[in-house]
Amino acid sequence: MSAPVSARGVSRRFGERQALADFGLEVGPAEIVGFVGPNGAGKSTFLRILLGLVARDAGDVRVLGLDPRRDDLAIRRRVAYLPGETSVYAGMTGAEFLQFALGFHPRTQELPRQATELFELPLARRVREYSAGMKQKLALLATLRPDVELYVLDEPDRALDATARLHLREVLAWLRDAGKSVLLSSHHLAEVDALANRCVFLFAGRRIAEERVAAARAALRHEVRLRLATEVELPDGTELVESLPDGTLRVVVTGAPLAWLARLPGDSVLAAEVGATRLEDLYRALSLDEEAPA
Amino acid sequence: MIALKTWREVRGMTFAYTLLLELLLIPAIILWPDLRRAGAGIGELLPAEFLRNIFRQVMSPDDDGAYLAYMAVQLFFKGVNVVGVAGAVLMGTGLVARERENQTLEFLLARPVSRSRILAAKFGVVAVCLVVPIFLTSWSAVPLSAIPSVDHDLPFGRVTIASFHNACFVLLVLAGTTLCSVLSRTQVHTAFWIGAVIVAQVAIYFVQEIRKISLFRLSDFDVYGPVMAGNTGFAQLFSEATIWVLVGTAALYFAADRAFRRTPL
Repeated sequence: MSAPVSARGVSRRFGERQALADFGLEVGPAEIVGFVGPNGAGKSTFLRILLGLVARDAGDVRVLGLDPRRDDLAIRRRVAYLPGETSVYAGMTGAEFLQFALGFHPRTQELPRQATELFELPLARRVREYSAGMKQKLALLATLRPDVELYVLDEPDRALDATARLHLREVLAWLRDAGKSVLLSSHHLAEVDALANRCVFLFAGRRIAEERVAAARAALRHEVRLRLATEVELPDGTELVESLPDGTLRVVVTGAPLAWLARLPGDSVLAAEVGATRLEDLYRALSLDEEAPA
Repeated sequence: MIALKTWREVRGMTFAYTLLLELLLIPAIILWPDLRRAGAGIGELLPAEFLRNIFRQVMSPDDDGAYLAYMAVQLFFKGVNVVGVAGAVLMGTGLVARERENQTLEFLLARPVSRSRILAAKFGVVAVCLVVPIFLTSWSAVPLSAIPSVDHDLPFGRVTIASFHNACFVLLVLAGTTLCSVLSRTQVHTAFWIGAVIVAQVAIYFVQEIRKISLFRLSDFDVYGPVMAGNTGFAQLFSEATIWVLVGTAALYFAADRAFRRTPL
């Protein structure tokens, strides 16, 4: 079975602007790959290349074993795509829009229980009466209902509230468990971090090397709150921020916080809480020192 | 699916356009006896020689011939050329430009349908919405002309031939509008450019010295008058005029299709 997405050396230029340069990416079966980068990094261009909506200037791309240049229609039959900057037809009712969107796909699927809450929409009402979040939910529903092998989602959590994002996370995990692959571009980095098997960073049209990401990850500073059973000596490089009256320590550690915790004596830690913004910090760190991406 | 969606978008305009064509036609037929009585004096008030010529034919002593000339003016030269062209522009401007403007184009293009089929479905529906009312309203003139106060025999065959040519002319305008719609970023831009072309063509048409280069010469009284009078049959009309309209329509449509296949999102 061929990889759902396999791309190497992909380049695309729009006039003077190099949108993608020698970019590559793989998405395996039943895998969620996060796709992270600042605005204008080339994420949407790459996703459009996968669907055959934009032609690449160079490189090799296979989607479900097919070349988007030649087989774009066959690819679009087997891939569900949520564009990042799209709108839904305001003149239709929600039900009409769904009927229109799903009519192009031969097979649809029933989504899990979590989807019921995520996609609770007044389908009899005209889309023009929907809020931005409701429109996004409708577009998502139209994208996730088709029973296809690959889901390409460009900022699916745009305009969604925290609860809806949580439900979306569960629905995407359900898709992965059902053997589907998902390529997920998002600005909500915590979502990507929580869901993705792997994360690919894109900056100014270039993929940031895995080693560089690993180095940035190793250099990240995390806040950890921990309660200790006994007084222990904290490892080198640990910065004690404060000691709270209930005995909780707030510390800042460099590198992987779980590895840091493992360096503490096994029975000394009663509770530990690691700050959940790892990927955002990593993204920030990469952006700041990525003047000329490797 | 795309055809159904397009029909939903233009059905209101189609009904309004059909109604307008019919509303222009019914009083024109009913008022014919009064106009006939009013005499040729009115014609001398017309500003251009070719308009006075048309009016002289409408006021000719041969009552049947005069009525056929009058219907050529009312039905086709005035009715469809004005309302049909306006309908083609109004319905055609949004075909692609509205999708782009409303940020729905990428959603549409991401469906498993080729761009050529998308354009063909949209163009096809609008073409039918424009053409069918032309035939229906033209045919409705036949029984209307037979009412006792008017009492004229309007030949169904000649009306159909003239309607066919007129429909082709409206499709030419629609194809031009479609090309503009593909190339424009907004509906307003499309309407501006196609509107500018049409206004210029109308202006040229009314200047005696240069009117022969106007697009509207392909669809004016000189075309429909002989058809309604029975002097020009379908074969002659098709080979001398309709064929060029169809060639122009095809050329503009294929240019639109080619542009749409290469259009950025």
